Amino acid sequence: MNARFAPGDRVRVLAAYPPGHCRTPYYCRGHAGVVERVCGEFGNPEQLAYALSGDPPRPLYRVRFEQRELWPGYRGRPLDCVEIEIFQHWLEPA
Amino acid sequence: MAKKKRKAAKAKPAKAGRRAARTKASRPQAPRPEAKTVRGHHDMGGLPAGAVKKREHDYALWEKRVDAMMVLLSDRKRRLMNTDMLRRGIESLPADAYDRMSYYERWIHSIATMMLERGVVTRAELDARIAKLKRAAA
Repeated sequence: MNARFAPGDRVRVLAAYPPGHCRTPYYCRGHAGVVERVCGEFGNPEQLAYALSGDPPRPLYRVRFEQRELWPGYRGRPLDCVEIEIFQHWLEPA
Repeated sequence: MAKKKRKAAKAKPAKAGRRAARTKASRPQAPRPEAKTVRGHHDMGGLPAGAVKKREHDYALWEKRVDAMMVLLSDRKRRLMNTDMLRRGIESLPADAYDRMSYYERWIHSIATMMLERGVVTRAELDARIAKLKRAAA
């Protein structure tokens, strides 16, 4: 599977709430950030969690979010950020 | 919208009696009206938690064994476990059990659940082994 996004691209995490295991933290869902790097391709953890193959491998990105984007009323420095590794099927262009 | 939802929730116990009451009791926290779903109990990033205890500690022998068991079950030869299965088993713990258990207690609960699910061990085998160890310790 080809990587849909490149470093510098602005992306938004899906505001999705599926049942079962996933590795996308609740607090970043629906929020926008910037792709910091493409980490490679990995088996889909949402399938691997059920002893399924996890194929085809999915591109994984390190996405940088500004803290003030994630937390209403964030009082730290304006450039504070957090980086989260998120699979491609959780991201859309922003 | 929120008003409508509350009304619907209120009407339920009266209609469905005992079963509805039990469902309600097992779900102490109602979802916030704006939430699409309830946040998984384990998914606690950003919630108030106080200061982090920055203290080193040694692992007990049983904790090292649990870790070793995870490594062996996940290796290329066996492929009976993986990180995501471990996580699923932990994430499906009820909130009170999750809070009560220590880190490696959650691990061994999850490993046991997954091995039962896959038929690697049976409930009877596990119970017999636990009973034997309890007798030996008594």
